[in-house]
Amino acid sequence: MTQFVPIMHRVMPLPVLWVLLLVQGVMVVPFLFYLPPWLGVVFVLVLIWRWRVTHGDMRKAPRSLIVLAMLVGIGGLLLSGLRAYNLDSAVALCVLGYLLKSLEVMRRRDGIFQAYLGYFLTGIFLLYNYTPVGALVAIAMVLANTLALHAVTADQTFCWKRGTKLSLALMVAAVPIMIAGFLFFPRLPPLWSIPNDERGAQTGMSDEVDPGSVASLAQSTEPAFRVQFEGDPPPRQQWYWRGTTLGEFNGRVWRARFRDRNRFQWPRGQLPLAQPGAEQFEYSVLLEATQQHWLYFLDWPTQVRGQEAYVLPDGRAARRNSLSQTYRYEAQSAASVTWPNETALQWYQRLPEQGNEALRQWGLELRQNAGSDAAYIDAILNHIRTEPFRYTLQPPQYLSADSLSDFWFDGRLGFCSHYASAVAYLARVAGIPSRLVGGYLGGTYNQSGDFIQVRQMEAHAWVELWLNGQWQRVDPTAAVAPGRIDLNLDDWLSEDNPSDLPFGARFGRNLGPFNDLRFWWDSVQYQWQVSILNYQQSNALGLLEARFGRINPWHAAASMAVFLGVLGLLMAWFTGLLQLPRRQPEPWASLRRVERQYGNRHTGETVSDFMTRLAYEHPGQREALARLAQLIDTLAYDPQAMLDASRRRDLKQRVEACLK
Amino acid sequence: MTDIATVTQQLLAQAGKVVSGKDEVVRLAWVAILSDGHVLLEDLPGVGKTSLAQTLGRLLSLDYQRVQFTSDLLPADVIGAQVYRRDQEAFQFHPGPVFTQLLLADELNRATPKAQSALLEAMEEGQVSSDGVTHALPVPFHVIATQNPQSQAGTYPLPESQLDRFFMRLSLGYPDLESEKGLLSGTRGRSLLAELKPVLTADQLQALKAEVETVKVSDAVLSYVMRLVHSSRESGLCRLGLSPRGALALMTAARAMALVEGRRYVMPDDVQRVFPAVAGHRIQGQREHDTAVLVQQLLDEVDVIAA
Repeated sequence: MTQFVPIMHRVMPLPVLWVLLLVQGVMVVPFLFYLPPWLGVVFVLVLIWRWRVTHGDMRKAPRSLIVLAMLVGIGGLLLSGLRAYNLDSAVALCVLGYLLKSLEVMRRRDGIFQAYLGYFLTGIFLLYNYTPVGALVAIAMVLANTLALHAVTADQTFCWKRGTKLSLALMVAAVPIMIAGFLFFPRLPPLWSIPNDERGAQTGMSDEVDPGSVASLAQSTEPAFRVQFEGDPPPRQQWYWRGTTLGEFNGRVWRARFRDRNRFQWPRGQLPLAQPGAEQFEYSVLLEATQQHWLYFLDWPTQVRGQEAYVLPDGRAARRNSLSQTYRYEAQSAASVTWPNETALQWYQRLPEQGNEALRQWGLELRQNAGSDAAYIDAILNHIRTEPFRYTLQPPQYLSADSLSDFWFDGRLGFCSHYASAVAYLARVAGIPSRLVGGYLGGTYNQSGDFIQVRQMEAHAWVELWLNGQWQRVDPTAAVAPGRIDLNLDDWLSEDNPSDLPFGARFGRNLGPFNDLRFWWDSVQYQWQVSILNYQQSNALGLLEARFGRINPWHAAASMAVFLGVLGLLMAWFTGLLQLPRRQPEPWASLRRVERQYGNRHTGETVSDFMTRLAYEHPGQREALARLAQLIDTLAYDPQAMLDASRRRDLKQRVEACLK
Repeated sequence: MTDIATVTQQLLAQAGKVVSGKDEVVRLAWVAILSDGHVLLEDLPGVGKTSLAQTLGRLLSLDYQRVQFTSDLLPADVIGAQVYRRDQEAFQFHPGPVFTQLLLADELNRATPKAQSALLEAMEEGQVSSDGVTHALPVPFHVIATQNPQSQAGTYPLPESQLDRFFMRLSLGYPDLESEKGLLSGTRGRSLLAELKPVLTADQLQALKAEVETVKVSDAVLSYVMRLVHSSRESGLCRLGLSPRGALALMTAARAMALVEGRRYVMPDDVQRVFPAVAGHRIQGQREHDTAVLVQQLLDEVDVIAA
């Protein structure tokens, strides 16, 4: 006699073990793109153990082996550089545990545990990849885990076809809940979070520009932000997307002044803002996470609408919290502005005491020869134009204390930041207030999505000078490489110097259909960002309020309750928990009509008894009722008359007549 | 083929002359006989139990025997015994009164259990055994047993298991005024028994019995019967619910009743009509209920039409 084993403790059949293993593989592979790849090796090792198990040795691993495997795994994670407490190490630990769980999965409760852990990992995966592709992968993961859960509970009766069908059906049934959750579930701030700063910091403009920094961005084809204009965008030459202004120079590196960086001053203690003139642009920007504070604007920012975002007096717009996620804001720029009196111009004239003596002398001399500040600047630009300066993505490194002099007199090979840096320095030498602006130049107009996409490789640095009581943009790159202003970097390079082109940008150029596909995919991603990831409660409320008027919380709660109630009823109906009153077939429908007219039949009263009673109460109808009773009885109980349509018609007519 | 509705009309008309005003009881007894069952008549002495049995025997042209059960009755008095025949120098079986087509077992509960069970075995098996030799009883074989209400002294009440063997339990009750007047004035009653003419031959009766099987039962009716039976077992009203044998009897009786009414399909009305007679002696209430009340309660509580 076999001993009774509680259901959760029963050993699962072999096919189910295989399903669990397969699901595990499906779950782990996408993570390998983000975590140490040797976790894949762990999976193979686990696979070997499972092979042993499925070939007869139905035992779970000894405890010592599990502990040992865990220790070795943790050691491996530490060796892979995952030492700090951050997202990567937490997830890596979780995935490791998930993999090693297979060493002991044998009974039903283990299987259920593994499936649940798989759901959890699916959620985590979305932290790494929230693109449309990531969403598809996550859906596949959910499907796989549902299949696993089904396999575990189906036990001996598991079959692939039915299991897949059932899992798909479950997911389809979950779609309404998904939509409701998407629309109505509040986007709560996290209760706790794992530090996540390390990722993403390597992309985007930083708040320091040393001569080499922008060039490294030029290697990246990642999108920086996307812009959608209300109405026509300004001409292509005006696509200077300003981000940070860098007013402090230490001889080598330009950085934002401390006062400008102190976000706790925003927006209090502000100087007056520039007043917009004519010709304004309205646009919305979807900015990828930068881990920085500033937002990108066309010259010159006048207004920003976004959470905790402000326009600052030095022509920046910034957000108090750093941008750890994709962020969307509405922006307004004016082509010309009236600047208030700048009171702190001396800050933009400061130079380090030491270094770049040769350049300083050269500048002072040039200034004396030039009649005015404007002529001086023109002379500088002219110098760049006429001397053999070259614009290149692979400039030599100027590492000495006189790096600007080295560049200006000896190297003459540089990227935008070199030229901007030198020109801003020369301006200060002559006492002209100047600053560097870090941002992007250009962008690609996406026809299918009607937006401009700006990639990291469009990163750019230029100079602003205070001349004639206003800040003026001077871009020395225009002097050395006029084509760069009209073309995106890769387009310009492919005409001028294809070998400088980053690999990612070289690939697929001049392939017409491929380009179209790329544009299409960009626009899909843009829509995904705007409408799915950046979907905020406030947007939803705005949308609803626009349609239904002011939303009162009680109404909102009530409509939510109604929505969920209807949803619940629908689900109950589909799952058979709830049975809607069906239209009764004849003769019961006719009987029901008679009952409605004359009062209900008693429980335990036969139809003819009922009709007899009615006839007693309504003597006028005696014969009609008797006939009805006979017809109903025949239709209900005589197998030979049941299917007789003419009798049914007869019954209906008689009931009509009787009820008149 | 004999038209059963007509036969029933004739039967009721003829029987009404002797057992006046008891059409429904006569009809139920007729249904019981069509269903090949035995009837227990439970009533006070002198209300016409014997008359009913004799009337049925005569109208259906069945051989009729009567045994008066007393406390000193022996099984052999019912079944018969081996008697030594000197001329043949051998024992010969001398059949008892049970070898007949219609047996009236009068006051069954006065006899000892031993004598009772001899009869009940014969009813169940359709044969009797005497000294190791089995003798088949004639076909058809029907028993109409009468029984005085058990409150009377000196009786051996039939146990439930044996009550179950009776297809129906009927009771006649006192006659109504009209019938009693006829009885007293001599225009009705047992004196007319001799004038009754059989309405059927024994062979025709057997043919009719075969027809009961062919009556159709729709799912709706079947479900109603099932619910009735279940309710008797599970509603908490009864201590002893209807047995499967009882359920089977109910179904057969309903069929026979439909046939008697001239229909080829059963209606819930048929079930309700036979239910008290078929179920009354097979179920027991939680307390000492009158089972007639209990049966009516079941009929009232179970809906005829499935929800």
